[in-house]
Amino acid sequence: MAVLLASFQAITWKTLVMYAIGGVLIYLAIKKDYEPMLLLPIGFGAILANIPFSSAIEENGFLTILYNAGIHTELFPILIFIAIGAMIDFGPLLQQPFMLFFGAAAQFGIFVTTLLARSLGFTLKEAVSIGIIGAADGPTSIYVANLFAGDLIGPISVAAYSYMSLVPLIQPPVIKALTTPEERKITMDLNLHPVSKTTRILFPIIVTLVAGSIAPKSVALVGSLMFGNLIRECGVLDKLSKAAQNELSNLVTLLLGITIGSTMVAEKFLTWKTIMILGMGLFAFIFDTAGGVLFAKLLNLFLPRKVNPMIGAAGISAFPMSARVIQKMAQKENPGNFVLMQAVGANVAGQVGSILAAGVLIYLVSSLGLS
Amino acid sequence: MTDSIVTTLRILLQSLGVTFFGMIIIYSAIKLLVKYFPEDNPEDQ
Repeated sequence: MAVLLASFQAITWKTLVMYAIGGVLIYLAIKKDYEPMLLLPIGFGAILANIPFSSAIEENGFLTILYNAGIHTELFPILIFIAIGAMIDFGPLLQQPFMLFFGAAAQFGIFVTTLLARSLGFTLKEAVSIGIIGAADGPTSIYVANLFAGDLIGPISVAAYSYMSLVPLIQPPVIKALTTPEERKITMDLNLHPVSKTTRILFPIIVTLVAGSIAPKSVALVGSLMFGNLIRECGVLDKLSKAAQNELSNLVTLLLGITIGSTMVAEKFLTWKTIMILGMGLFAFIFDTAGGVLFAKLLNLFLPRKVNPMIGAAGISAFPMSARVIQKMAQKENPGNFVLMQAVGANVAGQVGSILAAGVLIYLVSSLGLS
Repeated sequence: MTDSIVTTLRILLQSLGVTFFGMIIIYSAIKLLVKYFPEDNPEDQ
């Protein structure tokens, strides 16, 4: 009897808070449809990990094995990138390569947040891991956090995925604060030329070579993303492309979510650091959006044909939510305004930009030789 | 190398610069691709 009661006796207020957090994540996934594929497994994983004496996270527990195999080795984020690459149509970006610069500008949140985290007392490695939440890209956040701040992987992942699902709530007020109704009404060129199949096939290879040469540490991320895209575009691997988009994506997302949830053990998660990370994650998304919009406004000072500055905000890589938000806002100001293709172009550029920025940061921080 | 704010700033500025530099190269590469492979050869379809 004492053995049976031991588990109940080991429950503390922290355990109960973690159950509640797991429950809230599951609620948000089911009721609010916020990134349900991730938040539900994360929420349930958090509950599994916090049951006293849980066999799921003991030395040979299944979540420990999944963590060691998939997160510690960086395998899950890499496999997710192959799936994302197979899902992304880079056509809108190839039709308007100019959008690439919005993909770079909207990484502004990474830099500002890293600086903020550093000034709040986090080490450089921790600060960079927190700043990467601004990549608006879950797998990249997990990849960097695992490399530099393994203890913070739980809160960083939760922040990254939560705010990605909240993009429709975060971006509009920031965009409205920085633009005038006239600017939001600016129309974009609808006559986009089709892109040849050869260009589509060569693009992922060239991007891998360029990004890999500039930031060799980004090869794993950019290479897997572009490999997935090559499978999609080559035209002879339809079965593999569909498998990557569906089975691979679904399976790895499931395992990734529950494994991340298992890192949310009360002793590590219920700290001031977690609260600060959640706050800074929001800060990162706000400054990403602001960076993109302000960069577009800066360009408008010189461009003969003005760009709708909202397109800049789509440069964050929360794909495709951000592009949809921008299109919705544009149509609200002017029902005949279609900026979706440009927004999607900036959005996929954000995917490239976030990986490149992460790769460069990993390279630069690693080269410092900090412990 | 010390883990200082100055180091952080230097790394962030370098990173921002290299990211934009990378984007400029990818932009140029896309421009060249679109220029030299404007449309598909019907035999390739």
